[in-house]
Amino acid sequence: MPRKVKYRKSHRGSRAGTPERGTRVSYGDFGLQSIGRDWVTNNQIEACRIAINRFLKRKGKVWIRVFPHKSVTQRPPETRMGKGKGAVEKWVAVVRPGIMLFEVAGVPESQAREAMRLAANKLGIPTRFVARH
Amino acid sequence: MSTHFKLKAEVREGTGTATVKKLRRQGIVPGVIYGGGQRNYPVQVNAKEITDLLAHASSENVLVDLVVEGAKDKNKLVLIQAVQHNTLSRAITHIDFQAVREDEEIKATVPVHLSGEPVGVKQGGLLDHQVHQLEVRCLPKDLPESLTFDVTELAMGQALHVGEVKFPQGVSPTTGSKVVIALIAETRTTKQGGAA
Repeated sequence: MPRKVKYRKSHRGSRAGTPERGTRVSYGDFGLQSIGRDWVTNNQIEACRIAINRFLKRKGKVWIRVFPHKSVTQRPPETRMGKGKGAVEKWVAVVRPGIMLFEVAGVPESQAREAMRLAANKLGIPTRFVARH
Repeated sequence: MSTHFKLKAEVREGTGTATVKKLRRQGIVPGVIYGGGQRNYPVQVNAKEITDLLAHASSENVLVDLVVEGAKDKNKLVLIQAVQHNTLSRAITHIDFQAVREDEEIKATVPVHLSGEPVGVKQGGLLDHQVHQLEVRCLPKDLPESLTFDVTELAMGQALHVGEVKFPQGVSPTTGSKVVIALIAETRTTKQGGAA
């Protein structure tokens, strides 16, 4: 989650459209690309990072290409309407189809594929494994 | 040195989103030709032909002998300047051709490959290939398909800079000499091993 933000609470915004940038393997040799559309939470991203690093036994290099910039608020249960917007509950990254989520370098393809499979299991969106073109 | 690919194109009549969408559905890729002291004009190429061409090319910046049906000057030497792809399917949606002259220098992006196993990797380091493509300036006849640099001598913590590598004759980089092409980074595992 961000260290400091200008405004704590944001509107839901739009998840529509296709991304222009952040869709290619730019840093590593292999990547995990989103083919779905959803909010990915900071906990999901962290779970993926841990899954990748545990499998690769801290070999190679890993890049996280998404960041949870957006705050999501939630009202406490059994609360009457009104009294202002709820408290910030989680931070999410808006992920559109085509966005590169993670990249790895310095490991063979078989290991990168397995690491990405384990990371994909932590996400609620369909993804695919891609190699540098 | 560069190989010239051959491609057929036609002058495109219609412009605008609706027209090009219709063309894409028919297996045609819209494009444009500019440069070379001529007026810009829209063209179209066969999607299968351009996909096959790029599949056999080392990069998207290649020289093409273009035959343009319906143009005043039919045969042109062009450089593929930019290729737009669909984000998910990677299908080509648009292509930019830059007309070039044999005696005029061009700027093109060339893929960079590394050869050899560095000394630092044998010691447990990680080869971090930072620049995968490099922009170079040269005459069209000198344009290399790719650049291969030897990294065998690189030890742990050392880096290969643009200023340290030898380019083919007539080819010069447009980037600064201090740009790092590759370096040998210490991995977390080797750091721990050294500390223990």
